[in-house]
Amino acid sequence: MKYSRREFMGLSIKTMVLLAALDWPSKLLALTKYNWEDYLWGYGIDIDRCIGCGRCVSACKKENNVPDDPFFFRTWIERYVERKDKSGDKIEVDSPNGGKDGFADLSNKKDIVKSFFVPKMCNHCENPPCVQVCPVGATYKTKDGVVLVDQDYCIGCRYCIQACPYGARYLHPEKRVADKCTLCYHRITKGLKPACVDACPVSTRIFGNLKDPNSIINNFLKSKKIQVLKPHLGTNPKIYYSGIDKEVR
Amino acid sequence: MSKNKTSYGHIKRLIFLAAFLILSLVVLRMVFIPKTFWEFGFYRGDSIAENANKPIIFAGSSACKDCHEEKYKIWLDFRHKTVICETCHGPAIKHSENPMEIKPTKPGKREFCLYCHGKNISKPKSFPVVDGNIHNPGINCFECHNPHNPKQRQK
Repeated sequence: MKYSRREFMGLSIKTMVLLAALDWPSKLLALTKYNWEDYLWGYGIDIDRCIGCGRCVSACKKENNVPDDPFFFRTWIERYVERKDKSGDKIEVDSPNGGKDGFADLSNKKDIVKSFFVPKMCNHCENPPCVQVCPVGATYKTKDGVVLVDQDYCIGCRYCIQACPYGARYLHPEKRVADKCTLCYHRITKGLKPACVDACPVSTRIFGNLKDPNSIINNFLKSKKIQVLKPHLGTNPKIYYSGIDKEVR
Repeated sequence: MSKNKTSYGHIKRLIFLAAFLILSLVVLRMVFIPKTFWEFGFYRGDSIAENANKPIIFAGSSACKDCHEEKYKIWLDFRHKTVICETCHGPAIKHSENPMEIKPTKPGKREFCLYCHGKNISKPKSFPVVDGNIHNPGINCFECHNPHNPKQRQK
């Protein structure tokens, strides 16, 4: 044997102390200046302003290293078209490449009743179904109201992807773990806005602290008529829509 | 056989076995459950810091202001002030850290302007649009329009 028992025990204790010490800096860095008890993040989307340019989708993909294939999105834009039909009104929904390259104008403009763009993303529910179903505790809601994924702990079982009623999650093709919108948690904890909010050229996307009565999001909630997606499910989303129709799911 | 000779060995073995199993369960839990797992709830407390420490890619327009103050002031004065620099010029945190070597991209293509300003029936009626097929096709927008001050006509 190379080590005596005494040496081995001593070495183990030193290693443990060293590991504990190495763990500290990352934690201190993130949570010293930022006190998550002071925040509850809310997000507004004003449909009446959205022009479907897709800059949010593009910015999100760049900021969060989302794969560029047309079926991996943390946020995407849908186009709703309501047409008059003999048997009542008909709804068409499409989202070419998640809206990342904008939308080509509709070729058949006959019988259009109305048409509009709806940006979609994780709804950061107060009562998130994805968190309930995770068998290992790899997805959770933080105290500032953001639903996050622990990508080192996720086993890639896809229960959460099935459970999400908004289709906001996908399995990352390289990491083989669930991935979703984090409201750019690395940005908001440092005083920046999420990348999609910054990139939006027409201020469709609004972001702020619900605990601050004068924040931009609270002004948005007071001044607009607000709806959330699928309210009957009781998920209590914190993505608030203004100007959506009953057809939007 | 007298009563004194009754053997309790099998019971002792059973107790040892139970104690061993319980102890190994405790040890296994200590090994396999991460240190910070119950810190805030049924998840790893460290994962919050991991999520918060991911690298930032978009620097924000205030970062551009430090060096490009002239352009920044022009931008603030005109209608494109709701469009941050990086929406058109691309993410620039690397450029802000190393301004000489890493340059942001220059949007110049006509298609890029048409993402926003292309005619589309689904857009809000008040938004200024042109029909890309009719409005001087094949010419780059910036040849006539100044992107930082869209109302000014360039020669």
